[in-house]
Amino acid sequence: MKTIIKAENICKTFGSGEAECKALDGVSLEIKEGEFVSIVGRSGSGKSTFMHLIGGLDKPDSGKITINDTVITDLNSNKLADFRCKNTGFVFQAFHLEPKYTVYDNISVPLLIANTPQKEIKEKVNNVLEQVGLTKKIKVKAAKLSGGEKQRIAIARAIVNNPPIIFADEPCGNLDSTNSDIIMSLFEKLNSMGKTIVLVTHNMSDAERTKRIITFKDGKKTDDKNN
Amino acid sequence: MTKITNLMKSVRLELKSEKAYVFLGALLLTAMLASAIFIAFISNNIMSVFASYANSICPNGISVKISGLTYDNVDMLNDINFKEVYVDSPVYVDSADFYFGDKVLDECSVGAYYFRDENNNITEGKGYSQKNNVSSDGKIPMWISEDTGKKYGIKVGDEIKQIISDELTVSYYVEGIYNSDKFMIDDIGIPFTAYYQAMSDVGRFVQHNICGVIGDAKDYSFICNQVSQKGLTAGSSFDDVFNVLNMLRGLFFILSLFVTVIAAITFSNICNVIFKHRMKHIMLEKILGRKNRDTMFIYGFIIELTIIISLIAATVAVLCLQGYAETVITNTFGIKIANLTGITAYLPVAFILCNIVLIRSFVSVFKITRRSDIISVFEDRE
Repeated sequence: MKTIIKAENICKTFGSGEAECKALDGVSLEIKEGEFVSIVGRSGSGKSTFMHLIGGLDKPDSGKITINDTVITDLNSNKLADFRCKNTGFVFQAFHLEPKYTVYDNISVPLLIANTPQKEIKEKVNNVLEQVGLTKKIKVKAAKLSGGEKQRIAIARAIVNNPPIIFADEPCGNLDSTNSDIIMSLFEKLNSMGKTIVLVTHNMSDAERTKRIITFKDGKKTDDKNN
Repeated sequence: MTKITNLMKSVRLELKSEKAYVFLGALLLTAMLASAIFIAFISNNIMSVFASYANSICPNGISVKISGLTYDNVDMLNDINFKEVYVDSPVYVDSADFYFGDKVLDECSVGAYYFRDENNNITEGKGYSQKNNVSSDGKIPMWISEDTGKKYGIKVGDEIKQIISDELTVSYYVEGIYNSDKFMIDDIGIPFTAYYQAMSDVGRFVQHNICGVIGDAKDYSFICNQVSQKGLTAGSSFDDVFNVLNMLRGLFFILSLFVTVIAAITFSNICNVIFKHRMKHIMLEKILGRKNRDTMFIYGFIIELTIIISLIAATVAVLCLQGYAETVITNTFGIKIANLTGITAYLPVAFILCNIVLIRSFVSVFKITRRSDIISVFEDRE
């Protein structure tokens, strides 16, 4: 399988002087296309920082990150934004939906950003809503959804542009076990469709559902095993 | 085309999410701009209202005394828009000095006039014209009334002499005869430039003050300015009033610009509150792939749209108010105040001023889009 994400000797430090904190210390790893990977570790282990760096949301102090044959550490802000639009989808712990928008509006935002023609937007939104099982909620305002529904809409938004990679940062962090199960099932389904999924979690039961578990501790990769 | 459509859709979504703030900002901006426009309207109409009032109490025009003129350079006033030019202080022309043959014309009144226009009331001979204001070849033209002509048997072309002393005689030639009722007050009219020249030639000083009549009070400042450009001064009892009104007009206009700037600053502050409120969403869109320039376009478009709509709404509000005010003032005082040129001149100035002030809001959006610490903003880690 082709390597879709390659991180080489990544270092990242926050703060300066006495407040300096080394979040990542020379981390290297590769993720193959179609893998379902979880990155686990305690709070402050650097797992979220690592995901943000390979997702192109931040830049490392040193090291190189290649995604889909593009060295993203060399891209400027606008090119990086463009790259994210076409190649990645993000799911966050806090959902980050716009509460005053409807479900349709929330999901259509990435399509508007990607200059999708209007007639295609409706079709694509309906497709992803069908995948997450919330077709009937299309006109409901996001503020009126439950936590589980919000996260499913967030996943729908993340996949609407059909990106090859999905990054999920503690997607079940704010959900009960029932909804967590639904969300993890959704990720499994997306992975079975060929998507590469990188999941950051501190919950081992969620990590057990992935195919590869990478453990971080104190800014370093300490374990990397197939599940 | 797709990009523009999608950007406009994004604009619509932004307006949807912050409609309360945007509406409040637009309402505030409209109210303040309406105040500014109304002040500009007052500024623009202060002079015209007073001019209407002055015209109503001075239906024949306003007389201004012109200083710096002598009898032989009165033609300097030819290209100034006076309704009439005349000699103010009584020009004493002793009719007892005038003879037609051996008949003394002591029962006639004689006046020196500054003739400006061709006269249609001439019944015989030539009408007066500006070239007659000075004498040529020693022949000074004169015009007499029909009644005078009949009484003394004077015809066009006849000579009338002014015997000043045994040695000094000035000759005049009747150039035309005019209708008594419709021309000068006097029985005999002499172009005063020629008259003064003749008198100065014979060593007689004649006191004179020259005045101009401004037909429409609204032209007062303009005509006085024309006079001063010729190195002369024009003055009347209205000078102080017009000076004060001009100063007030300027003050009101500055006040309107000041209110405009305050309106723009207030709106800019509201915009900055909105941007701060939307920072997470802007970062989210950045994560989803929105380019910085597109974000600038969306918020810039909203700002410009709000300014334009507020200016239009403010103008409509002022026009309604102006219509009502005009009706009341015209019905009460008979004065018209419908002068809208000031408003149309003010609007582009207001638009430019608002945009200059709102540069600070554009800079705010620019700074937000340029932030590289997406995650720290997104997750409130500031």
